[in-house]
Amino acid sequence: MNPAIDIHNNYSLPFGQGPMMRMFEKSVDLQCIIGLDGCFKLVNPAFLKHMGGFQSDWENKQWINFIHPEDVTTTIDAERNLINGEDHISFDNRILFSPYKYTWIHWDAYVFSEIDRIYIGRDIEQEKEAEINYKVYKKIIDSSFEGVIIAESKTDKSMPDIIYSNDAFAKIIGYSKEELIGRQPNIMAGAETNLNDLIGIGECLQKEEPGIFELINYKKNGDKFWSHFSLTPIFDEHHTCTHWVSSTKDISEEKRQKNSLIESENKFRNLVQNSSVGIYILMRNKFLFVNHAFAAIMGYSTVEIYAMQQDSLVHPDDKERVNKKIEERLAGREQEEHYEMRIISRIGEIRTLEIHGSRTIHNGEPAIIGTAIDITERNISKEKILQFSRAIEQSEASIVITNLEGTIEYVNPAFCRISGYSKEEAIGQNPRILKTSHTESGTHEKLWNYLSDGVSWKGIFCNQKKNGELYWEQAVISPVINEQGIKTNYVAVKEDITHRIQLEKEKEKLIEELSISLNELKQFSYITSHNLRAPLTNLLGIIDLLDTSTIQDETTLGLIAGFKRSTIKLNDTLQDLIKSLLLKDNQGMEFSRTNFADIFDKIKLNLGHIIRTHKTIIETNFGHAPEGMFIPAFMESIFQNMITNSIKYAQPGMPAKIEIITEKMGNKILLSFTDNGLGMDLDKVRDKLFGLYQKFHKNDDSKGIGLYLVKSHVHAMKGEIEVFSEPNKGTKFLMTFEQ
Amino acid sequence: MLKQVLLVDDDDVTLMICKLRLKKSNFCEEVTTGENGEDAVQFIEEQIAMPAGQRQLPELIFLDLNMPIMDGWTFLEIFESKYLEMMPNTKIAILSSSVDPLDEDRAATHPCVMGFINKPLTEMNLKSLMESDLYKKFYP
Repeated sequence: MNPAIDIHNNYSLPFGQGPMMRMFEKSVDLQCIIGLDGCFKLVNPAFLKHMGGFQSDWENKQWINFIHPEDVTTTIDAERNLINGEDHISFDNRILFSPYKYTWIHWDAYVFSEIDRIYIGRDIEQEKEAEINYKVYKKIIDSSFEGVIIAESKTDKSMPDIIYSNDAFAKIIGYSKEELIGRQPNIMAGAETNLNDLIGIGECLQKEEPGIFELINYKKNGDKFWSHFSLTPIFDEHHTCTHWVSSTKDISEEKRQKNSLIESENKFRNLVQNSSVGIYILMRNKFLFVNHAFAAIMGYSTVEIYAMQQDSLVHPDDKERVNKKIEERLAGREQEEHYEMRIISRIGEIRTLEIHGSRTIHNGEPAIIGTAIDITERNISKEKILQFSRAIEQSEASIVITNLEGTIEYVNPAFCRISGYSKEEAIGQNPRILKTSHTESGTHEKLWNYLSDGVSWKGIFCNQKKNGELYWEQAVISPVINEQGIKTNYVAVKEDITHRIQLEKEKEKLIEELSISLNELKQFSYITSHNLRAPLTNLLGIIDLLDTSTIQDETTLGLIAGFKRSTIKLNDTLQDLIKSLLLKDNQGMEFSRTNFADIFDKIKLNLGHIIRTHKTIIETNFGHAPEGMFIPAFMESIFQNMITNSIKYAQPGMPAKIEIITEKMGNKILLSFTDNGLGMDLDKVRDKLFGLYQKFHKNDDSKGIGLYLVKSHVHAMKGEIEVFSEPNKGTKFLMTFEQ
Repeated sequence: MLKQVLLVDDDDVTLMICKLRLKKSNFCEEVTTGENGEDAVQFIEEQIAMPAGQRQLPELIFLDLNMPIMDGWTFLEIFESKYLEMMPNTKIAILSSSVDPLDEDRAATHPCVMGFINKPLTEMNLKSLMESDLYKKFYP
């Protein structure tokens, strides 16, 4: 249909049928003539083509009715200028061109005649849309959380200049938006920025290709941050790169989280691998994972364990129970289990494990993750501890354990039995509840000094029972030191020694009484012997002086002789008694280095007269053991007695020959006296030989105390004496002294 | 032979016996006796009081220990402190019936004591004295 056909029906064209008309009809612009009445007078074909309808649909219609209500005011305002004398106005409005659709038209309106104006329109719907889109996009970019910059390409494809930055970018980098404009994005690069990444960016710019980068950048204040950004080239219709858009994210936090995640995962992996607790993951009777500790408990390598059935490690007696537990968990009937089981290790050892297992899902399948602790040793120590505690509980000695402040933490039944305090009464108390003033003063101070030095203390307390009764205790109190060498407790082991102390006290009393009696007795003997001796010596003197040559009477002579013999005998007996008294008194005499030759010389001098008158021959040999540790006075007495004995009991008519020899045997010294005298039948006399007042010969001056003294002296010097003798051949005394 | 011997003992029988013994053994020319330490001191004082030529100071004193009035120990002390210097050649022999073992040790601590004789005084005791280095020059 030719839209121009109907134009002329009832409207006279202001510009006639000339070239103007043709322009009107042929123009691609929308053209319409609107009268002063505001009605369409004529629309051109382009108008109809664009807006639809026929000439008649628009003719004489108020154009205001076609205008979008929101644009009516704008349109009327613009047209008022035209009426007021302007010959040209421009404005945009939306025109209804289908029952529901408006389209943006840009109008240029001219005054055409007094009554007509010509409106030339251009559909700007697309431009309007682009404008709106631009505004929306800009809004989006402005408010984006990601940093966005737009930079203008340079012809040499070098780093472009920033022409736009959104708030987010400015915030990330710390510059204001104004500062960024005209700068180049490489202001962000710094010391730790990876050079390779920078080269990559350069290549991207050169090739005008998009790219994504992750690198360390620097903020205005010098702070580093991890930047994740994209580079996108923008091309115009001629495929020339005009701009670059870059979108940037600060991923420092993500990086840090990722790193710490990796770190913590490594940490956990290490923890699991190196844990001293056995850790395993079990699935369908096979181990998916075991750590070193688990393998070590079993005695296999981890690889070997992965190849094994779970139950081949379990002790046969525990298999059924363990399998059931695993089944229950895999089936989801139990989430967690805690039990003990026994395994048989590679070397055949039975070990007891404490298992904590819980159900988990691995790759979509039920599995068990658990820990295994080898409690074999713990069970053994448990048993040992039990044993010890039984021993302590049943001990007859009272045992108290306190903390370092001295507060009682434990007492055993013996303590309760002895002290009368029950366990409940004693615990929490200080042992000083037992303390009395009868304990030797300073004992407790000494005790604490020892304990604070970490040393055991041993001593005696006089304590008080709950009922007030006193009792004596011998105690050993020791610090308890743990594996780290730190004192943790004190333990006292105490024995009730009341009975013993009482006995000792009685004994002491008895000894005291005895010593007094003994002293009195000694004193008595001295006095007696002195008082006896004084007159006796006079008798001896008289005998010495008595000249019997002038006496004729036989009876008198006999009486005098008897008097003489009795007096001498009385004197000898008294002398010996005194000697034995002295010996007993001198038990404490001191040992000193004693030379045998010196002793012998001294005795030879004492006995010089007797030796000479009896023509006694004495041979000595002290070369092998010249000296030893002895009590000199005792050794002198031995020599004196031995020599006088040999002289006394010489064979009649034959001078005594005495051999005195010392020898060394190990750490012993042997001393022997051998004579050629009367000798003895030892079978008859052996038992009595060394007794007091035993006599074996009928010699006048035999009194039987000499050998008793010798034996006493030998014993006092830690020696033994033996005798060898044959009648009429001689006697040998052999003494052996420990040194 | 010694010229003068002083015999100090509280027992007159002892004194008599000793005197006889000394005489019989030809030990000395003259024996003076005293019954206790005081008598002995008195005798020494008397002798000292005499002109030097007439003095008869004892060369040896036999001294008993247990005596009334003044015992042997006291006499020893007095003798040592008072007369020893004047009578350097006078020696003392303890003649005792003491059975106390400490007496002999105690006597040995006095330098002027030259011996400890247990009663009775025998011929053998005197012989030993006469043969001793100290006195043998008097008994040719």
